[in-house]
Amino acid sequence: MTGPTLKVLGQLMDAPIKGLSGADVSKTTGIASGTLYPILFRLEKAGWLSSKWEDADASEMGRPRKRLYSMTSVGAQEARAAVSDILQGSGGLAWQS
Amino acid sequence: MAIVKAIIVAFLVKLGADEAKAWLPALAEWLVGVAVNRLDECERERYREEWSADLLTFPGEISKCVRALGMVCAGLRIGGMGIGPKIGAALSRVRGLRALERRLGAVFETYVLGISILLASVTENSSLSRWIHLPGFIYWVGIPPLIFLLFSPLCHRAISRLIGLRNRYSSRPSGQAQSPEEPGQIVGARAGERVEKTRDHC
Repeated sequence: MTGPTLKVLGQLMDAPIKGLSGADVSKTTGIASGTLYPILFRLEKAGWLSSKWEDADASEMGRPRKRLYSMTSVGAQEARAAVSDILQGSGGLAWQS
Repeated sequence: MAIVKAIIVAFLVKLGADEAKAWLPALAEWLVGVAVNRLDECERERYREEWSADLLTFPGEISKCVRALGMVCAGLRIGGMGIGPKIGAALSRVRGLRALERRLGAVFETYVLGISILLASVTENSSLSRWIHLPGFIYWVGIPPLIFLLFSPLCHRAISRLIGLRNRYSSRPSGQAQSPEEPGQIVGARAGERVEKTRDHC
């Protein structure tokens, strides 16, 4: 699992229930769109993330709708397991030892 | 004169800047269109709206264009997850053509060498019965097919087995679990299977 993927997962685990758009994730993590969207695509296809359109009409808002991503329960479990595997493999975090 | 020149330059720069400012949103939209066209048809509308909304969250026109350029990369990457087998097939065709070219080249070179030997024999011996001498004949008839065989894939495989080389493309076990890190990678033995797995949402 790559660093940007971990960043995205970490961001989405702390996300509000309604979810975060790709632009929000990009702004908070600093990941460029060329890296971010393939990650979101892969995670969504793997079932770790789910996405839905924001609850508003595009014509009323006068702009295109945002796609909001949120972590699935399976994704949250798998992400925690993956992170713990990584931490075990690296001998834990430096500030926890 | 210098003042007039400076005024003209300033005017042209202002004109260019205004023109660029007017065109940049269209450029960003065009880039999103390019990015979206890399994707499967069933995904295009979704990503067109999503990425257009994404661009609107960035205030500057240049930053929108930079962001849209990133989306072109994203489109290529996401689209590439589906066209992998096609690229693989095209590459294997190219590899096949290159192998054929190598083989034909080797045969041609060998025949050129053989003909050169024969021509040398002709110049040395005036009699027709003497210029097809046995070593030249064996070389001309026997060596090219041997070289053709050596360059053939069958022979390559046999040599690879002999020296213990493994084909890295066939060494991956079929049915290996699909990780979220690489859902576009080959899962089964057949490429078509993989496309179905990655594109079943359509």
